[in-house]
Amino acid sequence: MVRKGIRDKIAIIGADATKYGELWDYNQYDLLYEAAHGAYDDAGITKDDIDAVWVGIFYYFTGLSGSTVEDILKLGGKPVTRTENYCASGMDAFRNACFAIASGAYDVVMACGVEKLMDEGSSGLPGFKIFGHPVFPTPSAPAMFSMAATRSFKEFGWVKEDLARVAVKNHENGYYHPKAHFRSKVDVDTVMRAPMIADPLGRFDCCAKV
Amino acid sequence: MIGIKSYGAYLPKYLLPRKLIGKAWDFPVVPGTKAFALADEDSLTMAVEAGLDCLAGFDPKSVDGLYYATTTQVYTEKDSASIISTVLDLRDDIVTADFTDSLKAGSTAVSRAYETIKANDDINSILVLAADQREPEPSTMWEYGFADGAGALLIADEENIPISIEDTYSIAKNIIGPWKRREKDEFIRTFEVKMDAKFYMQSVLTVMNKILEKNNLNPKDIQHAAYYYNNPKMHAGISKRMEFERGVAQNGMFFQIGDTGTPMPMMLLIGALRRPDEDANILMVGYGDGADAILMKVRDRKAVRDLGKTRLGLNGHQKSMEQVKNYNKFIESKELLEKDRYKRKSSAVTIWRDADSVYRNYGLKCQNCGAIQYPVNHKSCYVCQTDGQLEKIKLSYKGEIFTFTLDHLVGGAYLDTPVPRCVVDLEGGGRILVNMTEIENPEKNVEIGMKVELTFRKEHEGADFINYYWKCRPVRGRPNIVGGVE
Repeated sequence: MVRKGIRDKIAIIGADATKYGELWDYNQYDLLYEAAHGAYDDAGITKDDIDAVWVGIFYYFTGLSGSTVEDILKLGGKPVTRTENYCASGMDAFRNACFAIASGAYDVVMACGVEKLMDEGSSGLPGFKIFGHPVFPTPSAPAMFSMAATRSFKEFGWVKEDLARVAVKNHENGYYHPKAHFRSKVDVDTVMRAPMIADPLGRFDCCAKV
Repeated sequence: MIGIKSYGAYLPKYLLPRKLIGKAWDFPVVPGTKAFALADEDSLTMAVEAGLDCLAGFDPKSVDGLYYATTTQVYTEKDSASIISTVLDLRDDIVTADFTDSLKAGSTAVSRAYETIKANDDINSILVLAADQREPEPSTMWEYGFADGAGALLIADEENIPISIEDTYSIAKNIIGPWKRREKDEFIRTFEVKMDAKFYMQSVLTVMNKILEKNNLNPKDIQHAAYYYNNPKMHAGISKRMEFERGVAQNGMFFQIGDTGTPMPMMLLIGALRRPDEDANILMVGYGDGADAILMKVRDRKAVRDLGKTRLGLNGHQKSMEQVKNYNKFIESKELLEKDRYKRKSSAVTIWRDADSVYRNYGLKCQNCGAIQYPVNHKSCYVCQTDGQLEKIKLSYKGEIFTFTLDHLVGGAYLDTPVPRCVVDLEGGGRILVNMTEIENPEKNVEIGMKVELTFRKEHEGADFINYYWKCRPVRGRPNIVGGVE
């Protein structure tokens, strides 16, 4: 089988994002509207130029279908597809939007994603009440990844400080980015002393909930 | 000859020093400790532990029945014997029954097992389990006594039986005490204590004397007497009235373990069987709304002592028991304080369909590459990806930690956080994700390569039934049963 691929068949003509953060006074309408209109403006198009939309949403209280996008952006009955693939839901919306262009089905599509986790109203990632097998353990998301970290430390001789340097680099990038959630630099020592989320992953090793 | 082919027991990991109870409530201090089960245990899970201990070295598929005795049933409609027999991986064409509502249920179940085997040519062995988790009313003297534990006896008809059952004798007495109404009582109520003691003495002495008389024996012929008691003074009173010789009456339990209720006579018997006399006559008596006496005889002393070496029994559990440091820890570990703990969802359908993994501890073996895996609902091999070549296989109850994390972001009801989530490589194959119980300071005490064993525990009560599953715990030394991966 010859892989045809999608190289040179698609172009990103505009993009935007909201600031990341707790954003207590925003809901998903505010967020998606702002990001979508920023992208229209960046591309120099209007919503009438868009043929179809792909949206990545995972949590049920933000929306369980593509109609969330129609409800917010009022595109006038254009097809909207929702992708749900855990933390890769947004990336998959983008990937499938690319395939739609490459296939020749559409000329202009929008890939977007929106989530408003703080609206769920409790701490931690929501959903463990309803997901999964009745009795098999349901580790938190950080706990699932941390089991790989624990074993990797053993296999490769890594230590927590090696992970800490990743957090230091990421925070430095955030410091320079106006839309980043955290815009402060941290040092290795601060990362090492932070409270544990799921050993060996501490507060700076895990995504903050936004 | 019908008798005891094997035995096993279970004692929870933790002991509450009685002086902590005294200190908590300003009571006169009583010496000793008592065993208590954690919040993820109940009488059913303790019975499973005793059953696994008892079946060490035997094929569970060879057992023809399971009788279970308790006064602390986990359901009032739905029996426990069928759940336990599934967890222990017994066949389904067996006889099962729950014996409940009286503290003598343990000895009654043994007597009935003896008779069932005697009356049926095709029933050759019955596993009798007894367990209790009786909650004393807080801040009463009953807190000093009530304790948790389980006992197991495998009754069988075989030519070379280590201990034979010679005879049984029972009486029924309608005595109001102790009692607990189905709906109106949160805790066990007791009769006027002196009257209670009087009926206890009368009943126990009656069945002892009658069974001796029936078998032309006198008290001097008894080498070991294992009889229920909830007060050391009463115990001494029986021994004195019967004129048992010194060392005959088994009394090793109350000081350290406490009054375990239904399994107590069995547990006292198991204590005696560590060092039985040659050709000893043994008397076991259960008490409650009457009494049962069971007369036994040691037929093969070496075989009895070998059982003691190959299973945990009482002594093996006692070695790994630990005292809690304060009364708060005791309350917390039983989840007696009201806290926000949300229920996970559940599905009776899923649990039923996955019973081979959830209860019986089965995994799959790939017929192509040999890889052993878990759970049983997969169709394609994790390792070689071959489709349709996976066959069910019983997994081991022992293993070591491949990787783990200590999860602080837990959802649902957990005893303590962080919760150790452990990926365990089972002996002989199979990798399983389970939570760890009975661990203090997990930051210091959990590590890759740590040896663990599986223990059947209560997970949550989602969908308004009890959801049980396996956890791992630091090794207490429970032996493996046959049928595990070689």
